[in-house]
Amino acid sequence: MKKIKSIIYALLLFACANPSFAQVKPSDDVILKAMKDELARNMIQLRVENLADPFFISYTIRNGKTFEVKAKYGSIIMADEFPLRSYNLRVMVGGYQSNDENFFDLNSLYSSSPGIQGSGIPKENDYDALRRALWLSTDNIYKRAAEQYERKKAAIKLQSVSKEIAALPDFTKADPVKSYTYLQPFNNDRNRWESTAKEISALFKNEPEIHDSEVRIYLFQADEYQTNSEGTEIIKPLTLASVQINAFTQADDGEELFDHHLEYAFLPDDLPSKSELIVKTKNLIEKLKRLRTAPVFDGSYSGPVLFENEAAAELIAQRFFRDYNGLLAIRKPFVADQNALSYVNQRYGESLEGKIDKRIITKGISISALPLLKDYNGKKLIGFSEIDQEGVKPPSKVPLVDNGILKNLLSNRIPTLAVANSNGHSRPVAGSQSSGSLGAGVIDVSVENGLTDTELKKELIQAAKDEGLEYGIIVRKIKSIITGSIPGMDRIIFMTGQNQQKKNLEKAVYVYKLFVKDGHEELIRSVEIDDPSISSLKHILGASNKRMAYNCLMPVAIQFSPYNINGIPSSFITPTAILFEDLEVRKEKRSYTPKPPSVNSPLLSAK
Amino acid sequence: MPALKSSSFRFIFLIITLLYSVQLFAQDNLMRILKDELQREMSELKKQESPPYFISIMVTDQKTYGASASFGILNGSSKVSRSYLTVSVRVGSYSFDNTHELRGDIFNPYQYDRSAVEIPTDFSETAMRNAVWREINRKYRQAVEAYAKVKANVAVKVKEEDLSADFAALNKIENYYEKPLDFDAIIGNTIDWENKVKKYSKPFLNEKNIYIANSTLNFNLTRKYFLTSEGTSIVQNFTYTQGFVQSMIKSPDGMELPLYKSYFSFLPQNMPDDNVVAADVERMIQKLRDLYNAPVVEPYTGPVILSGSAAGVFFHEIFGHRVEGHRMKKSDDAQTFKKKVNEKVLLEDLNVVFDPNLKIYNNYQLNGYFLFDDEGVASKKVTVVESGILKDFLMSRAPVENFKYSNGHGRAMLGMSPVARQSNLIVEPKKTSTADELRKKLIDECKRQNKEFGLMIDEVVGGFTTTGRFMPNSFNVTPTLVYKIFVDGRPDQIVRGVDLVGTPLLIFSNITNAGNEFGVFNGYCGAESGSVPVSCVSPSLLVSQVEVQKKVKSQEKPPLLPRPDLDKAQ
Repeated sequence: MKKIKSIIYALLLFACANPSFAQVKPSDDVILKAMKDELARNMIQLRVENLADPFFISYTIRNGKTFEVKAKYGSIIMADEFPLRSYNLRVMVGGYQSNDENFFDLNSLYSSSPGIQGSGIPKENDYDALRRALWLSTDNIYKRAAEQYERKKAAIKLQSVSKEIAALPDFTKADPVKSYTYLQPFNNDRNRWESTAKEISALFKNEPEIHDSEVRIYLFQADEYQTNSEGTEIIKPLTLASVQINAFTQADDGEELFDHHLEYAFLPDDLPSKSELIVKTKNLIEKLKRLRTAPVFDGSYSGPVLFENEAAAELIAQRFFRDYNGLLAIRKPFVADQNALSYVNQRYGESLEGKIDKRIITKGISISALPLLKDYNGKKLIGFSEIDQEGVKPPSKVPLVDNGILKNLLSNRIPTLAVANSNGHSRPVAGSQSSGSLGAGVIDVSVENGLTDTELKKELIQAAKDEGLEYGIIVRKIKSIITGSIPGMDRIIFMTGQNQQKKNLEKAVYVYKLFVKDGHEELIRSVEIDDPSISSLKHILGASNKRMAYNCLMPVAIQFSPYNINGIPSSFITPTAILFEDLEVRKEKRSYTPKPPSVNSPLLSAK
Repeated sequence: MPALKSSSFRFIFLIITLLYSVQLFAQDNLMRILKDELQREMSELKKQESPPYFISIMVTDQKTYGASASFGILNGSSKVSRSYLTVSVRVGSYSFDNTHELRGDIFNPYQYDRSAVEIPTDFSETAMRNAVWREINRKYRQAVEAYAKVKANVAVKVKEEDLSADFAALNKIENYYEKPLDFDAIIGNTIDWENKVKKYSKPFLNEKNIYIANSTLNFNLTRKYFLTSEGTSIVQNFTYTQGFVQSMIKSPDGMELPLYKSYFSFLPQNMPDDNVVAADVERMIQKLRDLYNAPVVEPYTGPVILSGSAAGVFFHEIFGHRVEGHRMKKSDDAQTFKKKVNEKVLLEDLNVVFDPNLKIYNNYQLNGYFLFDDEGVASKKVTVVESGILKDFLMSRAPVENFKYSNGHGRAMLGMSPVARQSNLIVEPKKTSTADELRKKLIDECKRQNKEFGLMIDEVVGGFTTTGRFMPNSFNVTPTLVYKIFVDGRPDQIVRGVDLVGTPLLIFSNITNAGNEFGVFNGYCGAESGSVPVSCVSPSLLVSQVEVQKKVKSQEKPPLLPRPDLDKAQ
């Protein structure tokens, strides 16, 4: 959950050349020293008469650089290398049991920037300047926290609060952690990535059936500093390398179609080679072209659905690890009044925590968090993290679902009724934000008695037959939640509000009918798949005995725009296929379908 | 400042509120590709039921460099290059088209469709053609939809008061080409820029109560390629160099007291020397100290002297926005001056002209200079007021009753649709008074009104105004430096905490004298077509009656702890 109070300071606009990666001893590190000294001074001295004192302060500074290339049709749109230094502060007043957080009133919406905020964090390693920035921000946040705490206490007095809620602490203690690991900086190699982006994007040049496309490569590297008043001092590296290839087109009836190929890794060298990316892009083009002319799914279907490959991984990610209806222990804030209530209801969803010790999925399926797992079958897992954003070291394994029974949820230091302690899942957000967000790290889904691919298909056909259906449904791709920009799509999604309904599953990209009588497949479009309910989850007919590791970015809890890089690097190890006995599938309901262009693509004449 | 979404809200500030960045060298090819694609679209779309009668394409190539520092420490220094495509499509005819006002619609989505499509900086052919194709398609669909809506709207609403056409024909089709400029050569060594911003912002550390001290230097090179289905073809460069020093002290009662100093020139070599800026910075620090101890002014109505730059902003707000021609046709605009052509609106000693062709005025370079506007019309000097009589309006290609043609003031920020906007506003007095005479007149006026003191508004950061009908038609000018001038001869006293407010028509009649000291305000003006560079040149003015109200004040205490490097308690 994002702090309402703590502000994110990110200054990317102007940044100085050649950021100095502090390859020094922690004891000589100016950034760390400035943070510690200013934090100590504020803990001792920062007071306002008649208001609560600060009991917890934490500072996080990210010091690094980003490199971003965007290309279209073989030409560079942008290629920017920026130093990055951002900071984030958390100041709490009161105590662990009761403090200013977990409270929402309309002030929380509008009080984003009162008082002096200075001008961001200096980009030079100047001790005094760094302290000045922290000083003004701490002052500002403390005043707001102290005031908010008074409002919260007043609001609580006016409402009748259940015993359990009243007893629930606002924040849990954590042992101090001292850990110092500096980044091993990598070379951004502009030439290599610019030419890669150009070459991949040029593959779309002779494809008039694809209306728009974009290739985006993003490299991020930083040292992250964390200090808090409990004595925690951490320096840790954060890196992300990604390639996002997005393509957009329209079918002749106007349906907007898109596909993406996304690659994420810790380091640029772990990304696929250029030749591999070229193959994957060609593949994407061919598939999207086929989708354009695929028949529209008409009618409705209720029956077995098989999710394969990345659709299986995305299904797990989207059904269980978004900020609603899933396995994240999100604390709903205490609401000041009815006016604030509607905002809270829009922003915060329910989790599955009411179902602890109950069955939520078919027997034989277990889900665990393995935050310390670095790789799986040679694939690097970007969800790996040794210490979380609140200075908590996660255990190597957090069982979430055991043999179908819900046991635990992912948590941070804000406890909920069902989860009392943090299991270290305040996760870093890639990019400029130095805050943390409750989210998945490395997730493992295992099944007993996995089936072979042939067996699964047989099961699908059998189940369809049993229902008296002509065909079963196979889903091979679901749109990932965070994709980078899909050219041409953003505006339309906002216009139609397709994005506003709180559905867990994103649009299914590749869906096939598997015919019962002869086993042939038919690609279809305009398909909408219902979110699997708990009762559908309890009726999983089988899963593959093969497993895969899948990296993606998950949205920051309570985030509004998914079209950027600000996501939580996450990894999912799942069976390569999952078969549901009964899901609802229907023709997509669209409130708006633009006509296809009246004029032919200029690429057609070029061809 | 409240973030009003109202279409009738406009403002001017020293700082550009939305910063857009830039890019590169002309590919001779570009205009050919654009022309070719434009012609293809025009001829293909002719086959449609509602074909377009006009399409324009603008490619904006932006390159910016910016350095910024705070208290002598560098915050950043970076170059950014970007290219964008913007397209406009009109369906219907010159007399009636899709841009016609949709009366009764509170929110017209088309007006705010700000679209600047990112395009490759090398303008390669496939990418350019595809981008133009996609964007014309999108804009064409919008235009067809809007055209159907306005046709229905006209059918159900009462007859319009102003029956002029929607789009003016051109008297001349312009063809103009400028050679590209070398961005990196103009910038030179960025270390020099970094050292300057550090040097300018460092002295503020000497005053412990100054919490903000930033300085920035920016250079912006914009190259615009514009062509239309009518045959207009224009390629022009715009260069802007801006220096900015911003500082703030917080008084013990929590009031935030900012001061600003800005510098403008077209090219970096014409920026002021470091010693000039250093002297300005020292003066600024002294003024901040004075402000820290200054008393707060209670709401006041009485005579005021506006310095030249303050008077410029004042004119921009109360007058300039009300002579932007297209407003005379909008049914929800107050249309203050529509029926006042050839009537006296100001003191007969004053002329008000807008001259976009003027580059320099009294050694000051003017931000509102341009040769062709964003509709491809050559900019013209417009005498709006002659000897106090209203003569003309600022016109884009949207005609209004009795004003059929554009005078080259159709302007827009990147990606937005042009409307009539200001350029270089120049207030020309026929008779002027010396500073001492003006002061004496102020004191005489105070005596007449039985006031203990008058006010002198020395510096302003900007202002805003509303010209609509729903909200009261008013303006606000935001001073940063104000002095009391006492009738009894006591020395002038610096004061704080006030804004100038009022309603425009009343104020015009209160302008009684002009001084002989001219000031220039180079800034950015925001309105429905986005933020555009403008300048205001004006003599100092004596206004017999102005109202000042208390400024919005921060309720936050000053920081509770002393600045870390000055904290002896540690």
